[in-house]
Amino acid sequence: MSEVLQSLAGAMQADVATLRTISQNIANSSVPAYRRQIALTPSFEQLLPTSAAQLSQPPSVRDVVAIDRTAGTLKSTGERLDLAIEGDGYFVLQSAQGPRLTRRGDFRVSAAGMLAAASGEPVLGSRGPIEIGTGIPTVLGDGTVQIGDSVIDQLQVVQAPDASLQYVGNAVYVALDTDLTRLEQPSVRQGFLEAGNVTPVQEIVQMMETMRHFETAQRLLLGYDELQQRAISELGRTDQ
Amino acid sequence: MFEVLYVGASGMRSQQLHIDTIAHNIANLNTVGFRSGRLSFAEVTAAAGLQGSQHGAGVVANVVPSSAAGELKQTREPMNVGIAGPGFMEVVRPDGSLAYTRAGQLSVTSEGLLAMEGGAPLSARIQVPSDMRELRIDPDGRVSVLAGAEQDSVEIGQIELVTFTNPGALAAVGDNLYSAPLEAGEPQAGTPGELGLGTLRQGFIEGSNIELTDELVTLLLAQRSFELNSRVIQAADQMLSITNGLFR
Repeated sequence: MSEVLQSLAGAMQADVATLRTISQNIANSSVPAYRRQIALTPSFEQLLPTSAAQLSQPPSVRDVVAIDRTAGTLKSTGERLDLAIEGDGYFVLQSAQGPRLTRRGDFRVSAAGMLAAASGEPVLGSRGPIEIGTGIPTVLGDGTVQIGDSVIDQLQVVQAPDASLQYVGNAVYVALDTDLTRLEQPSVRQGFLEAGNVTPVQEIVQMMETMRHFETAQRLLLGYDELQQRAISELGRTDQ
Repeated sequence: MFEVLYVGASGMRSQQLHIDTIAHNIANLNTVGFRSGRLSFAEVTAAAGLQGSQHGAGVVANVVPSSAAGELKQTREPMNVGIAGPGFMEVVRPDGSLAYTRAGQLSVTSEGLLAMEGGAPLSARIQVPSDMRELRIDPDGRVSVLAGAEQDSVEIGQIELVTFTNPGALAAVGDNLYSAPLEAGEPQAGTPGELGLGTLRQGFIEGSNIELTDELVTLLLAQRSFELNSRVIQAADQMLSITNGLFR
């Protein structure tokens, strides 16, 4: 009897999780190269109990989140150390746990004079971290970094199959299968930054949808509760 | 318990900082040598426990000065000096600490030292004779004067320029001055004209690097984004109220 209550409560919890991903998307809409997260709810077939044993367990709500990998638009910033990749590919960052991939290109020069991400990890070129020092770098379309007329290094721009990429936050990914293939002809733009791919309309519409669904589930719950109340009072009458 | 509220609040807080920064930029449109602030946003995630999965916990933002130089404007004022290049001039603040500036409006202190308009003397401690008739600053930083009845100019000092590996980490301390925290890297001093420092231009002054149209467009975006985040908080509040309505 209580599984109706259970599954409705489960549906409401799933709505809370969906609202959380929406809020995260909206809060992070200004993060360069941010990728929209989509809350996934399990399909009806997955939730449909197929045996009596399963019937007694309410469907569990897990927050499964997928990443929308559509590229954001490039916007001109005019900053020398803002780089964007046109088309496919990721920049490679060095971290203590191995290489990290990102399309977020608002780089800076660290105190040690190395090209680094906004979060501090060095950006890797074909020969390791790229030393800029106090020089004024020019980045060519193929990722070659020059200071004055001398070539310093070439930025590593790699590709990895989508399935192997795990999102670790702040527009950064880990490639779980370590085979990174370097792009033959990357297209890097200096003075541009890739925006996040959050579209307010999509988020607001999804928010409306979630709110109404939540409300519906609440009404259903109340209705069911009333039904039970009636059943108890009507069926329990002894004065007939 | 209800993270949505906090995520929405972090979004509003960072957009508030964005709007504040834009207001500060626009207010300083005519400030000599002013560098506009830009916002750097970063996503915050929290481990959700199971299988190392993560879920969103909001956003943080901090202000980074933009590195673009403002335009050099001719003023024909001998006490104005602009820097054509990325270097900074080093001055001593009243508390003895060093600070850096690009706002080259010079003055002379009561002790006769060459100083910035705000009164902070150049760290090179250039003593100007009290009967000075004319001050000359060469592109390579040599300072010479014509004083008293003399016919020939006398060299009285040398202005040096300083660069940093990470000028983005310089912190504004008011009076057009910046202090250099450790993250900015070791200050590297040199004679103007050396590679990567730039030269001095007497009679010029650097305007702010504010692009008004850019600021206004960003302001619109920041305002709307602030609003959008507030809607999320409203939705979360509504959800809580619906939940409370369950029990009658």
